[in-house]
Amino acid sequence: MLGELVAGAAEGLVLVEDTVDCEGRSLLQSFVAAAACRGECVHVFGFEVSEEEFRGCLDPRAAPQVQYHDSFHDPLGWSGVGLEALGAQESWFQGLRGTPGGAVTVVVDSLSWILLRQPSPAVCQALAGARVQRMLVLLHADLHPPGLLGVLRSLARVVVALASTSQGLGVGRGSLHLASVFQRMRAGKVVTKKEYYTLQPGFPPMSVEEPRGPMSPPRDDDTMAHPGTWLTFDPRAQLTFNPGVSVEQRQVRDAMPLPFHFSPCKKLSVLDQGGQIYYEPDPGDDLDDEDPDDDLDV
Amino acid sequence: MAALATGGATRRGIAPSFRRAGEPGLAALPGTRPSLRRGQLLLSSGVPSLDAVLGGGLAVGTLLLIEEDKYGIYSNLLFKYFLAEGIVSGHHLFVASAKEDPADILKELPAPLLDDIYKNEVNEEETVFKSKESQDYMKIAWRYQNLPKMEASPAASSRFGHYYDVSKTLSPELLQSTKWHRFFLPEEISLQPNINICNMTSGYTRLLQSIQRIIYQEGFDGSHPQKKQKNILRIGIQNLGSVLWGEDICCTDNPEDIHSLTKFLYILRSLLRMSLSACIITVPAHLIQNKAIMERVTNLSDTVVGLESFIGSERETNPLYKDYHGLIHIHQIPQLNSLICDVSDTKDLAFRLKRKLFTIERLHLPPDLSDTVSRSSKQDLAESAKLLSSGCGAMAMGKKHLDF
Repeated sequence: MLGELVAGAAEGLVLVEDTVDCEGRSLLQSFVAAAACRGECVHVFGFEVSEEEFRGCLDPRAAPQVQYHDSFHDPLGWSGVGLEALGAQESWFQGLRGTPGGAVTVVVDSLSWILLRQPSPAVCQALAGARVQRMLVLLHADLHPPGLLGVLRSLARVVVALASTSQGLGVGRGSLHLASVFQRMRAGKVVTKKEYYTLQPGFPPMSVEEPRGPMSPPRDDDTMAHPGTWLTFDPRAQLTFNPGVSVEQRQVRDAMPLPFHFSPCKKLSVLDQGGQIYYEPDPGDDLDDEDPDDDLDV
Repeated sequence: MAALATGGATRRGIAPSFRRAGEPGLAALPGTRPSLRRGQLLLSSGVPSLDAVLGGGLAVGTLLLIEEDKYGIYSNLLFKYFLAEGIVSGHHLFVASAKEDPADILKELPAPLLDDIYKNEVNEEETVFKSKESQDYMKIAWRYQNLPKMEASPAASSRFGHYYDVSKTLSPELLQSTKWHRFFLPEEISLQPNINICNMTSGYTRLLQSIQRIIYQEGFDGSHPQKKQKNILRIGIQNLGSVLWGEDICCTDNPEDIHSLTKFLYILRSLLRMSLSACIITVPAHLIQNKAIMERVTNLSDTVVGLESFIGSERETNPLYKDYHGLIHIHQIPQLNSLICDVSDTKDLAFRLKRKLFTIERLHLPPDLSDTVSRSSKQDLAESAKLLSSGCGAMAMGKKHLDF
């Protein structure tokens, strides 16, 4: 599902939440690379890393599609030239209003930087008011209170929450990560999916199977535990008897009557006809058919 | 009651044989009926089963607050049902939103089920019964044969609640014949960037001014007595209290102006009480951080209904809840002109959405057959019984504020 989102299925506000353990900028860069390869116009607002670092993995042929608004070098606008004189935050609002609508992708790296410096209602209103086809926003989930995260998730159409697997196969690019994707479809339906992926620089993320072998499960494990993770040994191999039932044995077993199902022949054999009582009198019994009360003289 | 028959019988052409002497007055308002118990004028909320749970309907001049479910799907649907009911009954509408353009909201309203289709679907059992009756048909007194039949149950005769088909949208002709007013916050801000804020978030101030202006201009508060036909104004405010209205009660525990929403509701309720209007508001209660705000909001509203949908939770796959789409909690019903309110005895209500029907039913958990029930589902039953008995869906967030 992550691959489809990168390939262009994502629409509206896409929120990528990363944490200290698992960074999301590489995923953002792969989104940008895929959009640029498709020929779409991409506007990137960068606040946290320099332009050279962000463009590092991009294909040079697709570079003109990507327009970078750099607020990293001069965040407070001290150089005093044109739009930068407003400072990075204001220029973001202006730039957002100024981007042409339609088939444009806007990438914000990162929204946390803005949320820490501007009142959140204004930022959310600006996000909701942007009329672009796709808006990709990186959010550092560790920096914000849960209320604000809830609000942003309710505004977003797609939320991708990244987590690292606790025993990754090495740090950095190429290691295994867990992405929980939540997507709000048009008809009011909601789709949630968790998948593992690896990311090579410049390429779309590749989703992989759940890791097998002696790996502990990922930290945000819940009732949807992957079933095949721990069963690497087969208990049946060590039994001295065969617990399985073959087809013929199953048929014979099904044909056998159950102990308390009374078929007619069974009833005949078990029950008596008529119900006769047979009684042998004890030594002390006095069997007399007359009614002893007849002797009374009342 | 003659008033009932007058209100609803016009479509069928049934002429009641007696009328109440005196004022025709309020009962002549379209789409309303007087309450059987309290004499209040009631409106339908658009969902007949919700009307039944609320004691007959929504009283004119009151506020219906809906606490949204987690993804806002079913609360949006109730909002649309309310507006669609207004259109079908011929009321005026006022739609306010900060998220979606009101014109887009109105385009997506569900289409009402026409009389004959509704009858065919819902009254199928009754036709079977009636055919049996006609076989031993008895001749009644000759005079009464010529009069048209009166329906036995009042609910069937007055077209009070309508059923809607969610898969179809309202026809544009019906929409054009409706008089409606709009309030879209980004548009209002762009039209009038500077406004003097009177102790409230500016979005709320603008909304209140807009509502007051409409009520006065269109005469819903009785200020233009020469207008021939009185009508009801249905106000719908979507997603109040969210960030898009410019306030931060959803973002932090200590918002800048904690009383903004409560002031808004106080003034809104006074506007509603003095005019022939009713209002529906959806509030994202699960996002509001400070639980004290929700309690104040509940106190300031008249009818409060909370929705809890099963989407995304473990109850979606639980076989006990497989027939239903979510739970509905009636937190408050108003006591208007009476000392008690008719709260239903059951607190476990669940709702189910089918294409042509939104029903609210009692939630029946199956009996716990001890031998055959496995361990895990016993736990589910115990957990769900605990949640249901507490009567409130999302309590986990509130616990933080109670810890010292």
